[in-house]
Amino acid sequence: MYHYFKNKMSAAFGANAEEPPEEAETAKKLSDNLLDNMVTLREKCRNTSDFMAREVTFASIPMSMMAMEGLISLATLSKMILPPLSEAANRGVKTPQEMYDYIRTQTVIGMDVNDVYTTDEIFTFLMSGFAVILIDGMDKGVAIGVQGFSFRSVSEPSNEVNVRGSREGFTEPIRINLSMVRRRIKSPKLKFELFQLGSESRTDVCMVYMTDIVDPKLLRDIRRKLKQIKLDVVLESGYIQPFLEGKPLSLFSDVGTTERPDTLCAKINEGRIAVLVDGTPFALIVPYLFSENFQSLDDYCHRPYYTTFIRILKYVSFFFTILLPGVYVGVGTFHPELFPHALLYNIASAEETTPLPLVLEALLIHFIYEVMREAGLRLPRPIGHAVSIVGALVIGDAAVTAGLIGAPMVMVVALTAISSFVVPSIYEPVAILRFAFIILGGTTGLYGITLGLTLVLFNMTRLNNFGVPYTAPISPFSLRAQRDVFYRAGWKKLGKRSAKIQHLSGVDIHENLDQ
Amino acid sequence: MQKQISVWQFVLLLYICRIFSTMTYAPAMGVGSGGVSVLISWVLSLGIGILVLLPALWLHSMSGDKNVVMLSLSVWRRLGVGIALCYFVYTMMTAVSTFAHFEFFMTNAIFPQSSTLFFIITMWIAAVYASSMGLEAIARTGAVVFAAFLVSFGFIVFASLGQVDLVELKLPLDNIWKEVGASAYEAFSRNAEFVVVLLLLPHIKGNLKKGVLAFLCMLVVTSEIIAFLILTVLGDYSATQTLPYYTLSSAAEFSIFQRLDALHMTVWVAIALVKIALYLFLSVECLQMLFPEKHKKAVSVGCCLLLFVLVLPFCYSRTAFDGLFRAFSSGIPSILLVIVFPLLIGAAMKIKKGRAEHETTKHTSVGAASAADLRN
Amino acid sequence: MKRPNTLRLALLLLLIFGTSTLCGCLKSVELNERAIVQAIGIDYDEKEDSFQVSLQIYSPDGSGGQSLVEGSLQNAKIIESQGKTMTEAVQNATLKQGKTIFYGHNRVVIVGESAARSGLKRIVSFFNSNNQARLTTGMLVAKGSASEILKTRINQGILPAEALEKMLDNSRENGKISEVSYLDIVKALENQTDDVVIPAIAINPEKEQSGSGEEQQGGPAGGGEQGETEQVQSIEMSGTAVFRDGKLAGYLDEEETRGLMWLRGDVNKTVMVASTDRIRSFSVEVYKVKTDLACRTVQAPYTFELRSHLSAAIRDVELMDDSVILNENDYQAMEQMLCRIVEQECNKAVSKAVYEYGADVAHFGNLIWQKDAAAWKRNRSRFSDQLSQVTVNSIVTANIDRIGLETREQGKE
Repeated sequence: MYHYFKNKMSAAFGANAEEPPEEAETAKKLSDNLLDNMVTLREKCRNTSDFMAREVTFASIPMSMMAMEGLISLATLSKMILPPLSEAANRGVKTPQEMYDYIRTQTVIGMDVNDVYTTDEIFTFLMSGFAVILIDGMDKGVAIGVQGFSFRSVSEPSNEVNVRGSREGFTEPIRINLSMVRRRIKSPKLKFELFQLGSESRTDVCMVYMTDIVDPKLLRDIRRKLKQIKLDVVLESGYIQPFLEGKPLSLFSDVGTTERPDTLCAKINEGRIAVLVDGTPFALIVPYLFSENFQSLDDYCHRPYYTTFIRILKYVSFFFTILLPGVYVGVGTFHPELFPHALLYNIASAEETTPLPLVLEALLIHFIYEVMREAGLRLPRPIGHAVSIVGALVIGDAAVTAGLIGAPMVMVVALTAISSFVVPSIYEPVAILRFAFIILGGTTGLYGITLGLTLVLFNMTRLNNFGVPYTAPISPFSLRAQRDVFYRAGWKKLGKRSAKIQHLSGVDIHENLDQ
Repeated sequence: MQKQISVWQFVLLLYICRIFSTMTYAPAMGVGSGGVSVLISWVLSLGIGILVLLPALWLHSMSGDKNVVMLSLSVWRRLGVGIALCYFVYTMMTAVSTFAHFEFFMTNAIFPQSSTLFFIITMWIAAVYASSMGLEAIARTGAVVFAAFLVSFGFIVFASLGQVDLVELKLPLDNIWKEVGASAYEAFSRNAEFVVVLLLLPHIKGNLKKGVLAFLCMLVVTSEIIAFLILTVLGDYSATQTLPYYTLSSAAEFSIFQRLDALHMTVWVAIALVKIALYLFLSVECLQMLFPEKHKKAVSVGCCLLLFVLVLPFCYSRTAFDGLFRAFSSGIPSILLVIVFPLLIGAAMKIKKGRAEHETTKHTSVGAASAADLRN
Repeated sequence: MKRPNTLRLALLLLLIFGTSTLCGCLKSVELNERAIVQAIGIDYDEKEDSFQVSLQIYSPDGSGGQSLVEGSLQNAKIIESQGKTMTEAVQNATLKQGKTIFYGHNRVVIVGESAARSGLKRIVSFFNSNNQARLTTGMLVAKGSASEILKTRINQGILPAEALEKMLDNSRENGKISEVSYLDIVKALENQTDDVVIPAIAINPEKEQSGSGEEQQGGPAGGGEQGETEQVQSIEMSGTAVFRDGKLAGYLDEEETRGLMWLRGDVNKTVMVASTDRIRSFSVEVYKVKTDLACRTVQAPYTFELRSHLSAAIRDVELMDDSVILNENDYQAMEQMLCRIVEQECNKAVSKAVYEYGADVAHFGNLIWQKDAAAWKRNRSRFSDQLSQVTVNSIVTANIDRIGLETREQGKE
């Protein structure tokens, strides 16, 4: 949405469509004069305070070592890089070329060593925690990986909690995330394709896939879509998610996210492609199916009968959370004959003295619940607990005792709220749909709810990103794939022929060349 | 044309559309009539269905990637235009008829004090949106709605079984075969889904013959069960009911589910939406074939507006509604569109193909003769 | 990524918000605006040619946000009104209280004797046109006035109508009354030959009033009037009302009612009491009944054959004296006695309902039609007059296969 309006505004006010002059300059090639290079670099970064540059001389050759403060490990720098350089003179290095060759080939100065040719590349490597050595007399430099920036340690993912399975979740640095994936799939067919997005942020983005399983058309399409992204900054995977979605305006997203490396490995083993973004623990999975919202890694660790029970519970919870308040309001207002007798008496008695109609009660109470929930998310933890207690009091007992709402409505809200936590991955559409169905139920009864539900179904079934139907394998129905949808077959059956996304019924992967 | 839906999606879609009408089915029972003739007529309708769809299968075997309208346009443009308009009118009026039935049900059974215009506008908006989603979305949604229908149907059957009284099954007092024939003919004449088969031919992947047979069998089985339950549970009371299946569902009570008519209503609304969306989609497709690419959007918008305009008189006027029902029940549209036109087009294609082959042979023999002359 | 079409977005938003203005087209009624009818009593005044309708409406006596329904209170109020037709009478009832009448939860319809004699068709026509009415509503005929039945204080369940409904269910379960719902009545009325039967209910005059000192049960919390009886016993099921051409023809007593139930195959479970020459009295609980009524002769005089097989369990036995030791012959005698009782009850039902009242209460006409449609076509116009020529032959077998836990095979010496 932001990019849409930004483009609109640019077009409206006639923004300059030419490339900014800075871009031309940052791509400037290095000269063989060290002083000129250093002047250019200092000008470029406006002498920013975290830019460290040290002019040194080894084997009578002037050199400059640069790094960004806070991104490198000084200990690594002093232990790994400086001693070999000090030995250069003893090794018979006399010319700049010899120095360059010495650094590149005769020392194990670091594992991640790259050549740099332009000022643009220098900055990219510097911002990525590399130390760059420029040699007077050479028109290229050497970038050596000595990352030592602070980052959050590997911890349990906050949104995807499992009973069994690993407790590791992705962290912000992409390299660590890649290592977690590599540890789990020790196969040479696992491929990482790294590139950068964001003209200013130059964020590392990596496509992860299995070369022997993934569909080549799918791969080409996703690669093309990613490379077409024109953003200034990419700070989170959510920035690039809309570019991969088929219909960004749809209620449901056909691009999934995960914080768990084991889940990601399972997905890429099914022929999907994962996209990791530096700076965020949330990886994207493409393509993504609706039924996957109800799957978790725990399902494959428990016994099949229990997993089947939990799966059905999740589907029921999903319908509860979107439909229960709306149906309650609709039935109470338009079709009370559907209630059993005793339930109707209780509800009628409860509503006898409440001032608001059922629909307004439901809207009010759910709105308060959403406010409480959002407040609980944003507040610091110690206060968050207090807020939840206050919320329970406000929504629960006090409102009922004061006669604002009926007791059955509190029960409905509680059940709805708890059901929504069973399937947290689709909370966004669920929250909106819940309100929509409350309004529909309160104004048009079960007729409106049915119409709304059918239209939501149409909205879901038309999603066909990359030729993969979002509602597969439910519709189009695939009998073989049902072994992991509503129920989970045993591992003997599951392991026989592992499911590939391109083999699902109704899947016809094609490149969307018009997008 | 790209084949978008599998044959089983096609079968479920046809079935769901047909079930809409079957659920409003009123076994023809008056004084002196017996219900068993209705049960026999459905079995007969299976045979009629197979016979009636043979021209469609014949056309499909001749050209699997074109529907009847496309074939007619390829044979002779003028003929094709006329035929396209006929199919357009039929599919549009089927959508209108479905609409009118739906509105009748809602305003008579569920919300008797509500405004007709409300249902027309809301359903129209929903149908326009749904049809704009495309055939794939309609077919996939149809499959899900089918599952919901099965659940609802199962509930109603299970809850009604305890009230079945076999004493209500009686032979008619008059000529049974006359009644059987009349019922079977009505089942054919009102079955608009035969036309859908002809129009959806190029979109289907899979064995069409199997699919058509499966559709007919499923339809017959369901209709037999519905007719049996209506006759044995409601007895002679069903003759006084305009919507006997709805009455049956309101009589079926199951545990804490006080009445199953609400379940029936929700499934019926969903089925109505799928059916109207499908027929609107087909009518747009028929008309779009007569216009160039740049006008297709305008045609689509025009068809949607036309649907709204046509629905109004049939929802507000009982006479118009009855007239439309009688027009469909006469069987003439079905005979023309399902049997006559496909046979005509098939024959025309055969003749055209024969002429083309003859011309080719003639040219070849002339060419050979010329070559022989030259050699000599 | 394709840029969204602004015009499409705008149209979509306009449609969504535009349709919200249509919400007023569907009239919504909140629960606190509904008068939930639980039971309806219909009486008819011949002199004034008007219907008197009594509606028992749910009115919670203890309520509020906590929603507790006080089960010990009546939770009901009665509204009475009159009108030339049912619709007018009900409309007048609306004017007497401020809520919209809601029939969707009506449990029972009680037709007073006067209304029953005037005919059911006008009553049925009202319910047929009401989309809220349930087809499975229980039907009763009151011996006397329906409004008196409704006004009876019954402190069982949340409200009196619930007690009535439970009484109906219980009586059906125990083979006291036929299972008759509103659907059965409309089916019978539409049928060419079937006649309606409806369970009858009456106020028990012996226990209607009592003096002081009687135990007070279930009165309102905090005390009610002293000396008031437990009113559950003051109304009771009282046989079956038989209709002919939709009008009340007469009543069947308890034995005749059960005989009718044997004929219709409505007995699921019942208790039978009998005696033999060696057993002073014994009670059996019939737990399984298989019944089949078939037409044997399709011309007048019509004969029907009732085949019935009972499975029974002995409940209590009182022997003639202590020297009696039960043997196989005794069990056979008991079984034969049961069969005889069933035959007698069937005959009584036929002679009263069919011969005396001239009502086809056991689908005789339909059975003839089912067997031979051509014969039925010839005879249907005369059938109602020929009902007196109907004969039912009962072939009843009984099997006492559960003798209980008490040993009766050893007498005292």
